[in-house]
Amino acid sequence: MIKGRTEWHIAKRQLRKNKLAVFGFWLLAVLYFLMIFADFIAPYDQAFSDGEKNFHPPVAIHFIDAEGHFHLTPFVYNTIERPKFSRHYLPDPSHRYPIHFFYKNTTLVEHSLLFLFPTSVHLLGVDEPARIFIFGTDDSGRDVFTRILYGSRVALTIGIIGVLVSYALGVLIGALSGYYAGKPIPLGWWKGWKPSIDVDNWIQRSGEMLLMFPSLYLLLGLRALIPEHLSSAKVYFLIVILLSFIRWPAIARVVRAMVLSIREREFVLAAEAIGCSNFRIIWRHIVPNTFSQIIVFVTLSIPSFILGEAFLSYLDLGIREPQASWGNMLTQAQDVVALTHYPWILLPGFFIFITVLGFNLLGDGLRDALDPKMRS
Amino acid sequence: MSLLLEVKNLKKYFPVTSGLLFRKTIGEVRAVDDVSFTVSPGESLGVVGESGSGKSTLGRLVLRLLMPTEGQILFEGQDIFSLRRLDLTKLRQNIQIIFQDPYASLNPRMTIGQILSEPLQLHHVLPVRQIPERVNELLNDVGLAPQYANRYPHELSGGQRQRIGVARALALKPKLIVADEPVSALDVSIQAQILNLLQALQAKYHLTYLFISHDLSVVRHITNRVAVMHFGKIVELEETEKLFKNPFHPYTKELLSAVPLPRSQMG
Amino acid sequence: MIPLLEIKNLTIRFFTDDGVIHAVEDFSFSLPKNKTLGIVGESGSGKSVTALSILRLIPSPGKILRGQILFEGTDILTLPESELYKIRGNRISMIFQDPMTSLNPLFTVGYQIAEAVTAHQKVSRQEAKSRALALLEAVKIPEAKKRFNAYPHQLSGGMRQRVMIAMALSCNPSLLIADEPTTALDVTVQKQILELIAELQKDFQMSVILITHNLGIISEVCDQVLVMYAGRCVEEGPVSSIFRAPRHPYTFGLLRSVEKMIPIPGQLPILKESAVACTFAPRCFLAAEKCRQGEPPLFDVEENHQSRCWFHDQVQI
Repeated sequence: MIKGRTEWHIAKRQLRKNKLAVFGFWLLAVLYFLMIFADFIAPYDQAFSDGEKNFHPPVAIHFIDAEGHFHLTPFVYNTIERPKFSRHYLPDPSHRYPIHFFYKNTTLVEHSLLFLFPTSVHLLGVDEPARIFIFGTDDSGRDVFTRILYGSRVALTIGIIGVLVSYALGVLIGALSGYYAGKPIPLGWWKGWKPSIDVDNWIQRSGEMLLMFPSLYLLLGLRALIPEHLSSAKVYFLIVILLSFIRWPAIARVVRAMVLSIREREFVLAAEAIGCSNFRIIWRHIVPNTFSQIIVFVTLSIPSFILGEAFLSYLDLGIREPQASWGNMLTQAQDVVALTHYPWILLPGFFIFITVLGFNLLGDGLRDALDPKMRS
Repeated sequence: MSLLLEVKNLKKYFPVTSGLLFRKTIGEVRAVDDVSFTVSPGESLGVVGESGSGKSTLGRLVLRLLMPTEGQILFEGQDIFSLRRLDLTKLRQNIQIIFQDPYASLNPRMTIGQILSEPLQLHHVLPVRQIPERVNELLNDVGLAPQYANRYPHELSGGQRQRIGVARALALKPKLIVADEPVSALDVSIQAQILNLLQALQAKYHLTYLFISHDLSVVRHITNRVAVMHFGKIVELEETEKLFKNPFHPYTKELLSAVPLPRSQMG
Repeated sequence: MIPLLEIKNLTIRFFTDDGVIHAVEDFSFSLPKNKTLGIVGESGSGKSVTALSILRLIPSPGKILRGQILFEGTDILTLPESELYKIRGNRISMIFQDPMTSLNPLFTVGYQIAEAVTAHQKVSRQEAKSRALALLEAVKIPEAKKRFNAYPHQLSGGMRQRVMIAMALSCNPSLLIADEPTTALDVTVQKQILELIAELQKDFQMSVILITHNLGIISEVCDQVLVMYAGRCVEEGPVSSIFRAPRHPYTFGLLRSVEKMIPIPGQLPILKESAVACTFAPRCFLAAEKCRQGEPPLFDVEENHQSRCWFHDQVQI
């Protein structure tokens, strides 16, 4: 049995040739890997804070000690705040604290590796009282690196879930709208008058009403409807719903246009001729032919969800403390003074940047790969 | 002998509108203008005309893919336009269509096997586990190896795709097949293959054909009678050979003279 | 007399992800001035690729591996881009199968013809317009003045093709290449377009290469016929000779399929390696052991008539 070669196989091959897209792919692969193993890779947990080390810069890692001896294992020095409360930290070269790999840190909460078995082992660690703040700390003494890793869970999932929900909605609505465009559904017949619903019209006009609102204000307005006291998880869930809800009209419009053109193709008429119901035609014939274009839009929409969440969290309307999110970590970067003295608190912004970059590169590559005219 | 298909005073007019905001109907295109004819079981009727003569519209009306402005079409004595849903499904089993464009008439996202299984699944004519066997049977009927069931349309040539179109039309064992310019998009050498195939299948399955084409030479070898259409009306309806030897209407004569034939001494 | 166009040993390959496709193999012919040549073959025989190669319009991943294309003595394949532009549309013109996609839907047909004029000749806009109008009349478009301002979608298929021909003739080319110009049209319109091409060929004193899969239309326009199969020439000769007595079983089969609807079994092969036997053998009714052992060369069967078949004298009428 000869296996057929679908559009996907051809597209995959084409995609591999696009170096930028491959780079984007691996960039995202690394980020998702870090996200999945965040508990393990992070040396501390989200809430952990060292009150004596607020706004601590990234800890220097040495191989050569003060006397000029080379050590195979990298090590750190403990630091002392001098003068007190100045947030100025001096390294104390008296004692070397080597970096342990696969360090068992019992002072922290147990985490479960891949949700399978609980353990206290982390990738890196140093003995007390030294710290391995790779990216420094924030104003509460919490490790930025750890919080970035935990924050990635929010950013990287909200994009995926958000597009899934909004596209499921948008494709369904858009397909109905496009299929019945120009063909009102008759509702029977009553006293010589034939009422019918113009599905397309209703859908498009209600979508347009939603689009009339400036998206940012709509988002804030809807956010205000969410009760204050909800747990972080519920807030997350509702934010995803919110963001998705705002997007469906734009998606539905695009899908509608695609469906309008696919609807006229002969194989749709052929499906009608063999006796397919309207529903089956839409579901089995028209919608699958929109996938190759939709997947490009999906990939390119993910960044806007990530940014939407970041925006809300930045305004303290999204994910709240102590839960880490790249958005709420950036709230601290509002203060210009802090930013000048402690620039490492901008790192979450850098991570947002590279995530968005990764999705954009991959999305562009996908679009080119799936475009039959750009085939070699 | 009872008639399979009876077309009575069939009319299909398309309104022509103008204006962006307030659509006004300013006229109509008379695609099919008072057409009547009959088709007996087992025969092959050709419908010939230029683009715009209404022949494709006629084909779609016979399949009830369009509703008429006026007129009747009776299939086995039943008016197809007043059928309710259940009977309509039965009708679909009995009348099938082969489309012109082999590239557009197959869903690019479905394998050949899926395309051929679909009509069988929809009408529950076979238990599910017998469907793959029937698909192989159909592929065999049109001269393709069973391996093709796993291929996608874009992997096949134009001629092969058209064979799939024929196979799909055969799947439900219809009584009448409307062939809408089935070979116009193919090379002449492949045209001969497909036409021969259609003839063989007609003999094997006792099919009746309504054969639509713009090319008289194609129609000559496969039809018993030919109807010539011009601007929505049938201008001549005659037995094929008689039409070719002695065309009556001036338009028929024009069509005949347009057929390109190599000057040769071969018959 | 230097022939207008001479192609020598042209070899074109397509380097795809699936392998190297031998589209055209060692192909040669020559076309004198003021003569028409018909190139006949099924889809995939390499005829369109050959035509495109004359103007170096072959899309990637196709590459011309070897050969020469001599136009009025100069090898087109070695010309720099700037010189090539002076030939395209100017001294060699081409018309394609689907006139709808060859015309820009945003501009009137008159504008597009005028554009073709000004592309190569320095004339005023008025002058270009009047020339465009004259061309529309030359291609026998009814009510040419009115149609000048029409958009492509307002014209029928036949009329669009006439517009394409007008554009092709705008600079009085010496060679017109018509790639399946009537395949997308109805038979009645087809006849008209072919008659038009034949007439224009005389009026404009050009050579014409007509490419088609339909042997039947060759006799309307052409003096000489070349039959292509799997990238090779399998028979070439004057129209009358070919039709009266074809000397290659493939040509014979093509004639029979047009006239009597008797098909040639099987399909055109897509060659991925050099042929070691006659490429037509699997479908040939005359095939013998000899055919599977080596590719036949072109035999001279009559004056100006060649055939690539070991059994060329056994092809019955």
